Formats: sequence, structure tokens, C-alpha cells
Amino acid sequence: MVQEQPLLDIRNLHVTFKLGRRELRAVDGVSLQLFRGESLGLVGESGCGKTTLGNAIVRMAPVSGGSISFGGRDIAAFRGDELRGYRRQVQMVFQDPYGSLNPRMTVGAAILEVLGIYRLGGDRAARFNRLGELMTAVGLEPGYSRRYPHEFSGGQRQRIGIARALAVSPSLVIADEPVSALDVSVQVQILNLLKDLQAKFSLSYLFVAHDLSVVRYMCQRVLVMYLGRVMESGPVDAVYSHPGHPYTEALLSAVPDVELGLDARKTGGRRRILLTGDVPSATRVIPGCRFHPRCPRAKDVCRKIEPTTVAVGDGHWSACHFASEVLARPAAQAHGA
Amino acid sequence: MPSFAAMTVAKNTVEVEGLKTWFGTGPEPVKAVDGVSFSIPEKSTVALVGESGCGKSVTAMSLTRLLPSPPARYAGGRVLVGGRDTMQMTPSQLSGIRGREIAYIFQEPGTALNPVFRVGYQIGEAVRLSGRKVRVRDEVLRLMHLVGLPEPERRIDSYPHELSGGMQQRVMIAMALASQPRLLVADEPTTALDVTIQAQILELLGALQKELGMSVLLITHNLGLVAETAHTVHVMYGGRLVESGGTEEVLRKPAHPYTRGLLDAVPRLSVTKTMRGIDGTVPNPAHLPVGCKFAPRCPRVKDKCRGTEPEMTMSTGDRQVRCYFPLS
Repeated sequence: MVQEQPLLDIRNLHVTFKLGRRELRAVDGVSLQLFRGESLGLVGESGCGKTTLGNAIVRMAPVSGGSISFGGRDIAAFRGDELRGYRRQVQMVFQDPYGSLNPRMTVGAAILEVLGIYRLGGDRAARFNRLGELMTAVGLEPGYSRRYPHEFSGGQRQRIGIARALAVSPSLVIADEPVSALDVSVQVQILNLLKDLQAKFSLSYLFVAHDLSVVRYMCQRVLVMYLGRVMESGPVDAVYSHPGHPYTEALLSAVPDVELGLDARKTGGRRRILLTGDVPSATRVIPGCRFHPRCPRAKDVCRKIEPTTVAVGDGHWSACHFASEVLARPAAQAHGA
Repeated sequence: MPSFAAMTVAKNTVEVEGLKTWFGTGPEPVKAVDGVSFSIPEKSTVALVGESGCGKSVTAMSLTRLLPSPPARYAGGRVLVGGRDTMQMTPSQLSGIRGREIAYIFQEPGTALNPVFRVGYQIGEAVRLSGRKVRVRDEVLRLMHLVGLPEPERRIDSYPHELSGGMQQRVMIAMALASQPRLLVADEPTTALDVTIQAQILELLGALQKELGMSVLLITHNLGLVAETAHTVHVMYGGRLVESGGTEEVLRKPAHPYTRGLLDAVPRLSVTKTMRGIDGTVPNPAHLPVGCKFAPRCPRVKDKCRGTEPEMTMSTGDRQVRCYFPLS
């Protein structure tokens, strides 16, 4: 395999928020590599740190340790023109199609504003052309650029958000839950649009989502996060069909799924791994493995020593003392190809 | 799970016939629900499925006339609860049903709970209003235990904000169960919850249904949930039902193009081939097209569809579909 330099290289990242006397360790030692042209999924439940990680990559979160490199260069060092250049390379599409557009600007003005800030596209006429191209690329009539956000549906606003992100021709797009606020029938349209745009414009995606099925559809590799750390990572097929971490197992068994649900009716319901309790607050420091209080497989060592990350397959890693046991004796039926 | 055939001769907890709920007092009301009929048999889970604006929540609220009126107008139909029509009831008769025979839980338990009262007090209020002759505190603890709240003796004095989303939803369920309802209406009860918590709540609802023998009306857009938990499913679009039947049949062999489209648009854990969405967007209830409401988006549309709206027709068994050209 050719050892290509990753587009995005994150090493042992820490993002900590101070809440009075307490600390919230939103990202607590995360490393990942994203390669050109790939779609990397970041999944986890609330409080796992996936959104904060995305924010840190676009320099919207306070990094307290570790490093983020883009194209081989440490982004923390960027200033002035270099920083502006970076911001062009990495763009974000947000979850809330209603909150992420300025209600007092026409959508055309919002997109043109971006072109203006980065002085892209040449003169007015050229920029206007570019606007038309972008609207068309996301499946909207160029004439709609004169309308205000409230005149569009959620799905259309999401398209506008995507057009705005693409205006600067980025190489990496961080999509933070881009479809969870949309109706089912519209979700697919946006997902397929994102896929088409990726091929057309050679984009790389960091796809942050809580919906494992959506990540399966969009991504080749996935990272599973819990309370600020990566529990498991690897090719999406491998992780979903042969999970190497009890948390991943529980997550997979919890996802409602039409096929699995229908199949399970004959056997009296899906055999779910039910985790006890709730996701603890990220202000609590949990000794040993941070998942142990809820883990159905927890043993003594889990309560005392934090697991290191071990390989469980080709490019497939797990942070569990008993990863090979999880693989060898899965608790629930596998979900996969 | 009782067979579908057995359920059709079972007694019905609720029967909805031609329900119409419109909004607005002008000449062009918004027909959010326009002729919906279905029944909820005893001890069964019925799912009402659809996307935003289809009228499913309005239908659920209409059962006990919960919507403020005006602007809501109950323009037709009957809702029979134990044989009596809620559309004809006086306010005091309705009070006797709401939170008693028919109880509700909603999507955002954090917003539904009163932030300045302890949860024990709020559950206690439900117990008191149920009129049951029990010792309130004992009953509150019993209910908290029933819904799986950890350390009830301690939590009884917690404020809602001190509880997680999952625990708040359990509190709501405890309140709903205080009166031993015959029907629990759950409107997107797990949408706002993390998926592992969602699984816990669904298990709880399933267990409670078996244990207490109540019916559940599950309002949701999530077909995965329907597949697992519902005996029968009704698919709603543009204010009316477009398909009804046993869950397995409808989801494996949908007859209506919209149901087919929805199923094709749901990402699966085990499938990665390209999904087809449904073109266009869900209709605005204020501007519904003439003829079949799904016609503008339907891949099988013909001229007839744009003329008069099709009626709901029975096909085999208890399958019903509202389409001139249903799939096989």
C-alpha cells in the first residue's frame, strides 16, 4: 500500500473547556488521519466530543494539547494569509438548516459574501456566474438566489449551506450532522448530492453523525467516539460486521433498522445489548476505561487501567482490554455484508 | 404476538372514523387531517407513520381534542373511546378521559416537565388526578420503579434538569401510567434521545405494554422503530392515510408508491447500494394539490391521479391503500 501523506493528521488532541472550578474534557486524546478523497465517519452519542473535534479542526474550539496538521503543516501556527488560505481549504456544513443562514440576507448575497471575503471569482459579473454555477451544482434554480432563507424548505436550505461551503473550492468538508434535521425522503437527496459533489470536485469528507446507517452509506472508514476518546476505528464494513469494542456492539444493536426489526419479529424481538445507566458527564474523570461503568463485559482491569489501542484487523483498531474476545465471541448478531 | 387475524375481531380501545381537524376560521382552512379512519385494538401497538406536516401529531392530539379551538376546528368524524365519541363530549367528560383512559408522552420530555417542581411532586400530581385510592408517595415510588428509574428514593426529590433525557422520559412515562390508561399515545418519544437510551425506552414501553395490557399508539417517522414494535402500521401523507395493514406485510410488500419510496429512502445498517430518494418535498398542508396528494412526487403518476383523489380501498385481508395504481 502506498504510504500517502494524510490530508488531515490529528495527534493526541485535547480540547478542554473550563466550567468554573471544573473541567470539561470534550476531546481527551484523539488521533486520526484522513486521506485525500475519502469519507471518514465520526460517530458517537451526545457528549462524545465529535462536534467539538470538528470545531477544533476549523479552529473554533480551544485546543489544550496535541496537534492538528493539514497538508503536513501544523494549523496552530497559521496566521494572516496562511490562516485565510486554510479556511478556504476546510469548510463546514452545519446541522441546522434554519440557524445557519442569515435570515436577513438573500441566499445569493450570502454566497456572494463568501466569494467577496476571499476575493474569489474576479469581477462582479464573474462572481455572479459562479453563484449560478454553485446553485445549479446543488440542484437549485439560479433564479432562487434572490429569495430569503425562510422561503425555502429545510432540504433546500441545506443545499444552500452546501453551496456556500463549496464556494471557496475547499478540499475538506466537515459535515456535522448534515441530514438529521431533515425528513427521511429528503435526507437521501442530500446524501446523494454530497456523494456526487465529492466525485465531481474531489472532496474529502469528515462526516460527523449519530446515525450509524447514514455513516454506513456515506463513509469508507469510521471512528466511534465515547466521552472524548476513540473507542474503535476502521473500515466501516469491518467495524459494523465484526465490532471489536463493547460500546460499538451496543450502539449497533441499538440502531433501529427495518430489515433487522422485521427479521427479529420471528424470534420475539431483537437481541439488544442494553447499556445500564446514562452517558456520564464529561466533567467526571473515570478511572481506567471510561466506558467501564456501563460495559456489560467490564472486568477488574477495566476499572483500573485505561486500555491502549490494539489492532484487531487490517486498519481496524480498538481501545479495549478484551478486544480480541469481543471479536471472537460477539454478544449479538453481526450487522454487515 | 397475536396474529393479525385474531386482532381484527378483538375489541377496540379506540376507533377513529373520518376524523377531520382543520385550522383557521377563514374560507380556506388548513386541512391538517382530512378524513382519517383507523382503530386501535386492545393490547396492541399501532404505528402512525409519516414525515413532517403529514398530520400525524394533529391526529394524535385530536383523539382527546387537545388542540386549542380556535384555531383548530374538529370539522368531522368520530373518535370512539369505549364506545363514546370524544367529539361530542363536554369538557368535563373529556377531562375524565385525558390522562386517564388515554395518556400521552411527547418528544421532548425536558420541555414537558415543569422545571420548578421536583419530579416526585409532578408524578404525585398525576397520581392524585387519577382519582385512584392509593397513598401518593408509595404509588409514586412504585411507578418510578416500574419505569426503571434508578434509586427512586433519591430521585423522587430531583428537579427535571438534574436528570438526563432518558430519565426525564421515564418520568413522563411514570406520569402517563399513573392512571392506568388503556391507551398510551407516544408522539416521537425517542427522537430527541441518544440511540442507546432510545433502545432502553423502547424495551421499557414493550415490557410495560405486555405487563399492563395497554394499547400504544406510536407516532413516528422512524420505520425501523415501526418494524420492531408495531403490530399494524398506518402511513400518513398530506392529511390522510395512504396505506394501512399489518406491519410485516406493509414494510415487506408496500402497496403505495409513497411507502415504497420511504422504505427505499431509509439507510440500512446492512446495505450500501445507492438509495433512491423521493423527488420533491413534503406538501405544505396549506397548499395541497388537487387529486392524489402524492401525485406531484410519484414516479408512477398518470393523468387520472391528478383529477380526483383516490379512495382508500381494501385489498387482501386488512390491507388498505389509497392509490389508483398500487404496486402489485
